[in-house]
Amino acid sequence: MKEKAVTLGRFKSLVGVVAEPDGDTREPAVLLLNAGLIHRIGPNRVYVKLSRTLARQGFRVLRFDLSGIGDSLPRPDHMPVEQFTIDDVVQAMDYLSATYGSQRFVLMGHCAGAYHSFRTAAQDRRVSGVVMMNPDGGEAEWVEYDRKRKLARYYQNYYGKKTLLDPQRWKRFFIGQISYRNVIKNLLQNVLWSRISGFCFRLRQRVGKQPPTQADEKLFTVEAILRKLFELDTRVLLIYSEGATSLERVQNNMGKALKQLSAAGKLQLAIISGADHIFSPLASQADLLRGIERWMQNI
Amino acid sequence: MSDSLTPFFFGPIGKQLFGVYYAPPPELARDFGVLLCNPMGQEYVRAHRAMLQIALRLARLGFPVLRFDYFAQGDSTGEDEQGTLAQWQEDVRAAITELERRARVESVFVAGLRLGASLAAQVASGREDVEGLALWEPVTNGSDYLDELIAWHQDKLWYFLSGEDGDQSTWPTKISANSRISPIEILGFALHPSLTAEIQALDLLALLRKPASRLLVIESDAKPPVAALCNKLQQLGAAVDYRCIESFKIWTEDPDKGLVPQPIIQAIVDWFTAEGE
Repeated sequence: MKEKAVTLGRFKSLVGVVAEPDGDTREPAVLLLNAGLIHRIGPNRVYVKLSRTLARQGFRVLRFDLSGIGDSLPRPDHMPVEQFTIDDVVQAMDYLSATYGSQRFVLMGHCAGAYHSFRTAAQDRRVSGVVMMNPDGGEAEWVEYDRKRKLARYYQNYYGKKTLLDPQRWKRFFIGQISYRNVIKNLLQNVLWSRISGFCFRLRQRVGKQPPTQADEKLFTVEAILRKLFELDTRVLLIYSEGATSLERVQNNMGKALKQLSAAGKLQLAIISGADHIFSPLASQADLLRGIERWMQNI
Repeated sequence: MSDSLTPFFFGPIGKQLFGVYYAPPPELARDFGVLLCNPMGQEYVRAHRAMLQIALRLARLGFPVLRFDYFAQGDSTGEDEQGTLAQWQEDVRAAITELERRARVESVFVAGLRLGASLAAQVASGREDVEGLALWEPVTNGSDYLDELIAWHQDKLWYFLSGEDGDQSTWPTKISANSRISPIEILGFALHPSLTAEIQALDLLALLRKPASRLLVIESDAKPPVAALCNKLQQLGAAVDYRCIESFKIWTEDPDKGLVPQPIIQAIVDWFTAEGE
């Protein structure tokens, strides 16, 4: 495996690294798209690990920064972000085609990168597969539900485990060196109320679920992507961290479609246990890499 | 003004480092290059945008600038657990040589953030070609630094992972005897035992020679260890410009916020510009 630093695109303003196999190269070529504003090494450098793992399997991999992210310069043509993200990816594929003769591509991305991947796939038929890692977001009520879940979990663990077992904290509690008001607020508001409102939200979603409106359809959610998948011949690996709110959301909203797409061989859903949103634990990174490596063997 | 940048790999096969060289506009080119030294691991991921901004602004003002990734960090060769402080010091030396070669300059300024500042100071104290040094929140005591990282690591996992679905057995609570033989993981990165031992032993107050004649030291809240470092540098004969500039800690912020600590970056750029006249 060897790596080469490149600049590419119409304005030569996109910065990337191509990882190449030592021996024969297999199709498709792989492109890794920025996880939000994190530069091309990816969260916890996982894109570097992924590039090298896949290159050792024979795939050519380009990890690069979209315009204005990481080392890539902003585009001089002031194209709107929704358009230039796709245009940048198309230019990156053009670069691989022109330089190495690549004809088919798999786009991979974490979080926002997942959306860029699929949005490009929906417009460019050279894309034969997409790997979406923890595509997040969604409607404001789901974002708020996610925030409360994490808050409740944090304070529950903080008071339930960390503090209970710490004699120093008990000492400070008894001699009045802590804010009783804060403790009560955290337990009642951030744990109890967050749990109750979370329960009510889930109940509401199950009982009063509304069919998507036309406005919802325009939102680029995982649900919209899955609907689009029915029309395309693109294979998708959808990866979520276990317990992710976005997974709960997509299962709640599209459970039936998930099963149909899986049965049709278009979609594979993988759930990584013991992982946060950015796959911080090393064990979860290893699981992520193994899952993608295995899926790539069949693409 | 258009920016001219060149990404490239340099160094020996097997230990190649990724760098980005920013060439200044020829009509503004100065006689000094500037090397930027990153923090490590998760701090680097989060500070990338800030370091990039320093590079772009300095290059526009006429400085040839080199940013680079240490071995086993960023895009450079090597896996996470292969990084060591000794190697990274060697990388800083190699990067200075590369910058001098590319920019055709004989001396450089160096700026570093967190552990990058410490590495820069250690390397510069053994050289004559470092004209000036900007230390942004330098790590003065490695043991305290590791404690800080571990506390942050635990806090993040308490918040995002623990309890319902997280295995806490592998989380470091302190640098134990066991971590001297097997890697520990901190904030998404593996640290080899030799690296943790090196960091634990890091003491910037033990410098024997001044790293440069002129230094800028920046922190966002006044801390006694940094004051002690400034005293030490002055005792060694350096002229120290200390600034306490209130700001968020960019190396801990969520990269998706897109934050850049503008006052600090401007202070660094202004200092180099004044010193590089």
